[in-house]
Amino acid sequence: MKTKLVILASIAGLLAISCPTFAHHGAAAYDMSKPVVLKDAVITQFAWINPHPLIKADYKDDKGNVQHWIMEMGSTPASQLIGWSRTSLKPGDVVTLYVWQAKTGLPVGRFNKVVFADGKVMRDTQTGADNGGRADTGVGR
Amino acid sequence: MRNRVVEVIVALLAVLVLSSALMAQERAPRAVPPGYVTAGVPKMPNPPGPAPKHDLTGAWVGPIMTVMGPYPDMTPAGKAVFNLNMPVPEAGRQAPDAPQNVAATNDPFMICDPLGVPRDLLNHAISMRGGIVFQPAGNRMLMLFEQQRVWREVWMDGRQLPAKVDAPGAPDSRFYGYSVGHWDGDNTFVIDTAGLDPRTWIDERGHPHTKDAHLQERWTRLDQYNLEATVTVDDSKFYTKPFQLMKTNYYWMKDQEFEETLCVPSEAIEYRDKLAKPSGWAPGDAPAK
Repeated sequence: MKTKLVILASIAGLLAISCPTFAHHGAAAYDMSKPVVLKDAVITQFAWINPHPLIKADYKDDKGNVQHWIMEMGSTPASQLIGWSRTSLKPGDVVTLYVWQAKTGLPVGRFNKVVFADGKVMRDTQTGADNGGRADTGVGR
Repeated sequence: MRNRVVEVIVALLAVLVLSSALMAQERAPRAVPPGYVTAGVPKMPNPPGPAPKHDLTGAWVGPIMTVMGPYPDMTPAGKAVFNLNMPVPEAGRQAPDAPQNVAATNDPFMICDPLGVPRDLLNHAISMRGGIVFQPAGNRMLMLFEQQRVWREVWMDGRQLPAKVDAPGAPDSRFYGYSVGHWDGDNTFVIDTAGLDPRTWIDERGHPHTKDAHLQERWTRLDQYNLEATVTVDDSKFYTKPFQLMKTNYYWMKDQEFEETLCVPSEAIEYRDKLAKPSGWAPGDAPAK
């Protein structure tokens, strides 16, 4: 019985820290109903900065107009924990970007995920940060 | 009876798991992380051992599962400052079709102003669960913060906190104030802090404090790997009664090693101007659509 309760408490703990979260500002500025898909976008810069890294990319719309997009992602420590690094994206990479666009309608927003040319996918941290990866959250609680 | 209780708990957890999974599916199903224990770090014993006496030494990660407040009513003076910290959208600032529920932020950390305490205990402003090292150093306890790589000195030599600051003959207020500490029992380290610079916020919502605020932190080591912290605030000029600001948990950091987690002003300004302003939540003019 005690073991079961410990396991249940551990699950509850993991759920608690897995809740979607944004760092020091809310998500109210972004339209979270449906991500905008930027197919064949060209990375122009990947700024590995605080408080949030910025992905900059050029996207050519159906009419041939080039849009200059900027999107933020999870903080650098949190992103590192799910495999991101300063070199994960490079200028010239042709990728498909998914982004929650700002409600202002400008080409800015919260990064969701990137699909590389070889099909590899890397995601944002927004459904939770390290998920307890740096701590033993399941130990003894 | 106990079986019935367990059944109810299991059912509730199942609902939580399902809702969490659906939420993740709607937003962004995330990859399962491969595990982050640095090679060579010994596996942690489970269950953990007992808390050693008078010893918090080491790196702790958190806060996790933080409960804030409840906050008491604010005095008119406190409310006035709080409203300044979190202003309503400025008319005409946003694009005409922008939603009006997006408030600009005056967060001093937007351009890397010091977090101070108690806000630095929340850590996740940029690092999302950063770390704190407790390190005894003679007649003081050092607290080293991963975020911004700043430190606090908590004196344990019997000195008194300054009765007042920013007055003739009195010391200056500080972002991290003046702190003294003592042990309460075997496992609780108590820190009292005064003389805080009123430019800092006590949380990420913009709750203010005066230079006369008094903080008390109680850090209780529950066992080998679990640390519980409570922070109370007594600031009668801004709050109608003392209150518990936060109760939270920190955990033993597996690899005991911090990243370099700095808010760099030039980067923060780029972030503010290139992302936050066009997104409609930072003060200033957004570029035309």
